[in-house]
Amino acid sequence: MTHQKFALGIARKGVFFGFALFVLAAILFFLQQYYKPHASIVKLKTDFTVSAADILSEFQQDEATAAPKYTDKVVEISGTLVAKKKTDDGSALLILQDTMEGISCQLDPEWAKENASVLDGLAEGSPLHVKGVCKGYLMELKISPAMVVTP
Amino acid sequence: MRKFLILLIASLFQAGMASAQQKYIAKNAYISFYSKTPMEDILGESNEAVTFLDSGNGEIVFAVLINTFHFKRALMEEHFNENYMESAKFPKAKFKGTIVDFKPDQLKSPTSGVRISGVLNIHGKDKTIDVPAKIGLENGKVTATSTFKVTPEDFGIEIPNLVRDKIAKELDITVKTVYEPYNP
Repeated sequence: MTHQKFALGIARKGVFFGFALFVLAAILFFLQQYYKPHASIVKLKTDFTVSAADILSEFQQDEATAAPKYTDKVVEISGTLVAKKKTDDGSALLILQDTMEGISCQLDPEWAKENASVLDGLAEGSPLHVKGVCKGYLMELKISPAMVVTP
Repeated sequence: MRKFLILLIASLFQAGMASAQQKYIAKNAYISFYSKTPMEDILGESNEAVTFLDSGNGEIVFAVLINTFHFKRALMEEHFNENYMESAKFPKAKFKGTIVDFKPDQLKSPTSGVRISGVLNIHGKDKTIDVPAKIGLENGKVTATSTFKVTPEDFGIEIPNLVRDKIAKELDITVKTVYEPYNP
């Protein structure tokens, strides 16, 4: 084998390995995207910190402006807990401000499981600080998944 | 005494009127859609739909925020919201209709089969639908369930050829609601 042919062989191998590496990276990227887990509410960065009364009145007075501003954003809301409920499928709900047209926070199931004692300690009528993803307004402001922020 | 009787009758009459026009509400109604193909099964579920039922005339209103649908995989949820439903542009799906041949007594007896017809709005597009449902008392509460099919293309939802084999032509919609009396 001449030097030239040898060099060409190495170059071809290089191209082949480069290509194989690229394909592998693409497959890994695809798999990582495909199987990526849901974002954990505990780790998400807060976009807005507001009082329950303020965000409610923003939505109730001008939903067309408030919805694009808050939808799918992480909000921290402080207000008054008026009801603790469960959905028919067992998810825990914390309702702020008003039982009918208030703020409905559906707790992250993982968070609720790990923090059962925090939930048990919550009393209706007491102040509450929650963090969650704002989903929009439908009769009430829907926040989910949510968690309780403890001081 | 006569005054008292008149008052009694009047109040009874009013009570009768009020119960005849009782409204029901559920703020965490369940709705899911299911797509089954040999390549992939996709299930999206929301337990945050809001619905009203009027026991006076059998009118039903049902609405859900599209971004409250939850999927097993985060990527499916992203594609559902961004590529197909365009939930930022069309955040809500709505239905407004009535129970066909409704009689108020249907809400006081065990669940039985009915038809519900009305207009379904998804992705900003209206379509008149007529679907089977079951409605009536279950465990002492007014309960409604329904299962029917929708076709994404009917609502202007385009599915690229690349993934057409992964998404069923017709999606199964399941709705389950347990109503509470609504006294605003």
